[in-house]
Amino acid sequence: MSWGKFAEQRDRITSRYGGWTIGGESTMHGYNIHQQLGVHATWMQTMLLSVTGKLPPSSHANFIEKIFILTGYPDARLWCNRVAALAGDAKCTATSSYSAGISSAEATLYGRQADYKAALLLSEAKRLYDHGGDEALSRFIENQLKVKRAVYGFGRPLLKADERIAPLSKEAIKLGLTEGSHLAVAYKVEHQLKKYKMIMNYGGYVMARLLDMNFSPTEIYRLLALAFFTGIVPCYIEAFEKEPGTFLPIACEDILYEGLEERDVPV
Amino acid sequence: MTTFFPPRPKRESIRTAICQETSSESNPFVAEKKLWHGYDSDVLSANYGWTEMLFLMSQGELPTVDQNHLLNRLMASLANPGPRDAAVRAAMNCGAGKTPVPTILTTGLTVRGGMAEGAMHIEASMKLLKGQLLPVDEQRTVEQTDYARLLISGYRKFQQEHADDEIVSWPELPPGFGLYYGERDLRAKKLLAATQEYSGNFSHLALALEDILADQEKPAYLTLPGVTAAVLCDLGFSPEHGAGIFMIAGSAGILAHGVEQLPRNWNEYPFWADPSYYNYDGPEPTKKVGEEN
Repeated sequence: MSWGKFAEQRDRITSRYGGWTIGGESTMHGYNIHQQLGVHATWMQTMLLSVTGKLPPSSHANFIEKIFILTGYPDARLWCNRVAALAGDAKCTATSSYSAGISSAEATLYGRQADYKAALLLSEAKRLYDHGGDEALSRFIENQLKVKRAVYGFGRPLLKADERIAPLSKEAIKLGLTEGSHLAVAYKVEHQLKKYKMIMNYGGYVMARLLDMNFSPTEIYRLLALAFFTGIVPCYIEAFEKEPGTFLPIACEDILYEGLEERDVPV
Repeated sequence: MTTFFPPRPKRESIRTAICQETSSESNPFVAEKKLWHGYDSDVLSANYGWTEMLFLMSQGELPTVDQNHLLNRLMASLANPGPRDAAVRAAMNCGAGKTPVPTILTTGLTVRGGMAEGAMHIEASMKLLKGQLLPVDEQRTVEQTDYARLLISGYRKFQQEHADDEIVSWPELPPGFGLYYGERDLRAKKLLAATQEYSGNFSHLALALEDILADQEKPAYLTLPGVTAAVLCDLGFSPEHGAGIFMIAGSAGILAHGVEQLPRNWNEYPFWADPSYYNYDGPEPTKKVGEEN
C-alpha cells in the first residue's frame, strides 16, 4: 500500500521531545516542566534545552544571554528593526510586528543565514587546520575569497572593529569559559585577512565560541533565532506610539527612479 | 516634477525601475501620478486585470493574450490548496483560535513557503529547469533528452555538494519530481492538461525529465510544483518571482478557509484532545536539573 505510512500517522501525533497531559503534567526532553524546569532552570537554559535536547550548564546559558543582550540595538536604521518600526508605524499588532522583524533577520547579509554560514565555515576551517595546519587553512580562506568573495564571520561594513567582542570576551572570562580550538582557528583566519583589512566580526567570534561549546551549526542557527529581539521591540513600540506615517516618511522625489520613461498604455 | 527638498545623496536614495510617483504641486508626500514600468497606473487599471498587473510588475512588460490566459489558468488551478494542505490548515488553526485576520493570511503564507510542496520547492524546480544548478561552464546540449539527462545528473552532483550548505536542504530527488502520498501526482496530470494548449519549451523539457525519472528503479514523476515551475518558466518568470506567484495564487484559499473558522466556537475545530491521539515515546520525565552528566 503506497499510502500506508500516511495512514499510520492519521489522527496520531508522535513525539520524542515532549507533551502535555491535559490538565496535568507537561514534559520537555525528559524534564518535568512544572516540577523541574519551572523551579530550577532559567528561561535561557530552557530555550537551549528546547533547541538541543540538552540542558546546558548555567555558564553557557549566561554567556548566550549576553550574546543576545550585546547585539540587541534599538536603532531603527538596522534592517530588522526598521521592519518592526514600519509595522508599528502601520499600526500592526505587536506580535505580528515582532514576528516580521525576527523573520526579516534571517538575512544572509547580517542575520541568521550569515550565522549559519559562518558556523559552517569555521567548522570546516578547523577541520582543515587540524589535518593540514596553517597551509591548508590559508588555502581554504583564499579560496573562499576567490569563489564566494566573502568570508562569513569576518569583515564589517562601516567599522574597523566590532564593539561587541570586547564585552563578550570579558563575560567569558568572568564565567570561566576558556578559549577553545575553534576560536583559536578564528584568530588565525583574522590574522590572515588583515592584509584585506577584514576583521573578525561579532558573528565570527560568537560562532567560534558556540562551536567550542559543542553546538552544531544547525543548533546555532536555531538557538539564535531571537537574538535581535530586544532591539526590535523598542523600535516597534516607539513607532506604534507616534502618528501613522511619521516614521521615516519618504517624499515622492526621494525615490530614484531608474525605469522607463512614460509610454502609452496599449488599449 | 516639482521638488520641495534639496537633493539627497544617491547612496541614501531608494532606487527602483518599477514605479515612478510624481507628487502633487502642493504636497511632496502625495502622489498625483504613478507610472508602473512607464505606464500610467490609472489607465492600466481601467483597462487590464490583476494577472496582467502581476506579470507587468515582475517582468516589466504586459503579457500577450496567450500568456495572460496561461497565467490565469495556472493561478485559478492553484487558488485553493484545500483544507488538508499545511498552509490552509495553519490559517484555519489561526481562525479557530481567533487570531487577527492579517496574521491568519501571513501565517498561511509562511507555511506555503516551505521546501516540501511550497514556494522554496517552486524556486528550486525553476532553477533546475533553467539550468541554474549546473556549473557555469557546463556544456549545454541542444538535444532535449541529452539536456534533460544533464540536468538530472547535474542536480545529483549539486545536491551532494551542497548537502549542508542550506538550512533547509535541497530535496534528494530533482525538485518538481517525485511521488504524492506514495503515488503519481494526479494534480500534476490535471494541471498539465489544463495548460497544455499554451505549453512551451520548459513544459516539454519537464516532460523529458519525467520520461527519464519514470524509467528508473524507483520511478519519480512530475508533481504539481514541478508542472507549476515549468509553466512559470514558460511564462518567463524568474525563480524568485515564480516562488512568490505560487504563494499569492494559494492565498485565496488560505484566506477563505482561515476566515471561515473565525466565527465558530473553538471546539468546532478538532483539538485531538483524547489522549489516544497523542503518542509520547521520549524518555521518562524523571531528569533533574543540576544532575546532567
